[in-house]
Amino acid sequence: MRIDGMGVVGGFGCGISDLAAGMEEGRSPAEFFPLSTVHGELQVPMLLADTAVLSTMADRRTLRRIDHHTRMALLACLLAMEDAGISEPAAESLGIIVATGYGSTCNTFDIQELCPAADMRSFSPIQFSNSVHNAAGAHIAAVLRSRGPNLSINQFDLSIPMAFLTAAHWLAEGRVDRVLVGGVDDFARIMAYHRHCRFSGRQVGDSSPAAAAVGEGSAFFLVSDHAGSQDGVSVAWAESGFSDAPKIPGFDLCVIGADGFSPGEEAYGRCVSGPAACYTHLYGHLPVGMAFDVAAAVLSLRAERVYASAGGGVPMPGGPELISETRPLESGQIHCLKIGAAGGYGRVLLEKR
Amino acid sequence: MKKPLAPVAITGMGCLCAAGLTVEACMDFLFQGKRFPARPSRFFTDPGAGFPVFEVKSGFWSPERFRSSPRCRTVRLALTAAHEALAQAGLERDLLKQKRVGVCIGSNVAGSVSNPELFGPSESWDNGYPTSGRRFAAANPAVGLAREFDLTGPVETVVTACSAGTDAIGLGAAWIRMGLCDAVLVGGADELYEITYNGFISLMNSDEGPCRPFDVNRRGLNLGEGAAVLVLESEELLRERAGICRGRVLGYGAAGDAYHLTAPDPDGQGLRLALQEALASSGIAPDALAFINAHGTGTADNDRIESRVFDAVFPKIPFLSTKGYTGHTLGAAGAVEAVFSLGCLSFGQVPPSVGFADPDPELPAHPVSQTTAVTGSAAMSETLAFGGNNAVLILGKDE
Amino acid sequence: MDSLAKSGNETLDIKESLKTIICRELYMEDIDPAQIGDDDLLFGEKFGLDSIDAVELVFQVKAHFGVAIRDMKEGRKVLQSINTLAAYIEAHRSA
Repeated sequence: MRIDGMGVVGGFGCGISDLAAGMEEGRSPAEFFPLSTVHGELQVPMLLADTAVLSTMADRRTLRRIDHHTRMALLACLLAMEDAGISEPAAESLGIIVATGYGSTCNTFDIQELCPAADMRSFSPIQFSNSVHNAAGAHIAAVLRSRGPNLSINQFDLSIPMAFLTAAHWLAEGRVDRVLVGGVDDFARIMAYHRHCRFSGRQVGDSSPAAAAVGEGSAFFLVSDHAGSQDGVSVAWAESGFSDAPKIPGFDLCVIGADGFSPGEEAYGRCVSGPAACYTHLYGHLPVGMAFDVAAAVLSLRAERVYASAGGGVPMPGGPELISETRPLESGQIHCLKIGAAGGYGRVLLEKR
Repeated sequence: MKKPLAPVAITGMGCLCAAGLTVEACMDFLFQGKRFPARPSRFFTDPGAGFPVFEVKSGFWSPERFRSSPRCRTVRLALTAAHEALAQAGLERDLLKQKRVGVCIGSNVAGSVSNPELFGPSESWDNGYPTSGRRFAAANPAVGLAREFDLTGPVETVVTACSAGTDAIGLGAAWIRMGLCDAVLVGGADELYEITYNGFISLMNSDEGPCRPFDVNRRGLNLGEGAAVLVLESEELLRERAGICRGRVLGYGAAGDAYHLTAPDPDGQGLRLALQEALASSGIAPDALAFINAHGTGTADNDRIESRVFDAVFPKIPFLSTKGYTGHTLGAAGAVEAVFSLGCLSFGQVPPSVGFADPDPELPAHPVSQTTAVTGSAAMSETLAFGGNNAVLILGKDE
Repeated sequence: MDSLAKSGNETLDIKESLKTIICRELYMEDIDPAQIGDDDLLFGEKFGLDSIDAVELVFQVKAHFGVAIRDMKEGRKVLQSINTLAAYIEAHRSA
């Protein structure tokens, strides 16, 4: 399936040009912010997404009750449509697939921290509605007036390969002509604290992929059946399995999702033998981080160059060799690989035709 | 119009909910026309506040059947249903391990918080705090099934709220058709959960008494809990092991209302599109359906829209709601009711829609109020979810 | 809110509180509380409120004033305007 457009928002900024600039620069844009914890206020690096620009793309009444989680996803969707040059999608032939690792309003990990102490009966109807995991998908469909199939997937860090796989099935079976597929996750306070405990000695400025700051954001792709088309970037293959990752065959580059959280770099080292790159310093640790790996791969294929990896030249213990310098594209194929924290793997192969 | 897709074989089914702990027990219960709503037993509610629920009987969990020992109730529900389904299918653990078997499960609490013991309050934050991956996996029924049965195929949790169980079956069937898997465990699982319970009360969508789907006095839904798992199998595997086909997924359709976060489109546009897609993909004509399993939650809007759409599209087809027996089991509902629908097809009759007594004069079509004989080899089961997600399955008897 | 109950201009204070609640809790960021007239239809064209706003208002009225609106049949009458809401709250609030 062909990637007709993509939209991104995250700690690196908003839009393809901000992501491209970040990849050129190579430094982590993470900034320190206070995080209040039971052990007092800590200064913790974060990669936060700013969705202010959304108010210029949709009217305020429409956005009224939409929370940060959905704003990020909606912004990425609108940017993807813009990138594809499409303003009005056909109502019944556009499918929407939203992948999220934490769920809406970071329900999964933050509300549970807040709940046991708080009175669960004090959830307001608007809060509750926004906490349902398909809230983002529902809002996106309403804004785009899409009446096609609307799916929300929550498979933690393997949500993204499942989303791409499903988009491919929908197109192959002729359910829809196009799919907006992507992921969104909020900043998780508890993971920021977890990172602090684990890596507080390490700096973020060194862009080490092994200790990414906790991030948030969204990346969406407008895909269509590419039969008959001769050019452009496409998803050649998407798969996921609850087994060890297979050996990755010959390619230009493998973008790995190592971010310092389990499993470690050695898990990538076991199946990636060729050149690898890691860009987690740009968008941080978040379960749907693989959506940004795919975005980085699309950028590289479009620009016909592979960008230097974070921490390039500094070997990761047991990890694959990270490329240290930006270089021209050769075969036109880039793999993205994510090894799941709870087991399993996901793989997306992108190619330029 | 879209072309019909290949039917996918169902070789095993397992189900537990307030109606019973096995498929057989559930089917018996439905035809007795009884129900036992009660106050939630596992969390505090205001005494005298009403809002009964339908819980799964305590003691459903049989740890000796399983190698893993999950603490999360939703995972236990899913494992129990899967155990029954795999036993009926006759699929042994050794074979499951060798074949490419996937899992696709609909749930709400899987992506939420369902294990306070494991997750604990902030005081427990320290270096040894369980990482997010471990926390997710511990409460996720799809991962729970993959781990218990050593499955190596794709693992997916669908979180389209109330239609998640229906979507999971429809998506899993595509994995078989596309040649991705030899078998897929599909279905849904959800435990009764405090946040959803109070959330639906705050949305003023809950009935203070036992729910009354399609009744003139309906006041909202009651929540329930449960799980259902179906084994979908490729024709190749079925032939190879001489398995028995017990039913088929004939069609699936899904469409969004693109209307409102909590209110359904008053004209049922999304529902109409979803059932058109389901019918087209099954190649079945609307008047060939034996019956329709409605979503029938007992909320004013949901039941009105379904009644209008049934009247317009399926004027002569009998329909029922089983929510009165089970409560709304949310992410499990689509799967639980798919199992019920297959059971009713093989019985050749549908049970009364318990809770429905006085027809609503504003509704053009009414559900069956007593045990009704049905003829035909295919039935439709539908779910309308929060956020305007509509999902529809066409299920068939094996013939 | 407790201090409001003791003030001399009770109804006026209820109305002001309600307007603030509508702007803040229903995220009506483009409207100033002063722009809401006491007799304006809350669920008409002017504000564009809908069914979630209605249940949210019921929830907020319970939270702020301790006054329950039992169901939407009752709610439809009570939630018409600031005046109908304030009158209901005044009549049902325990002294």
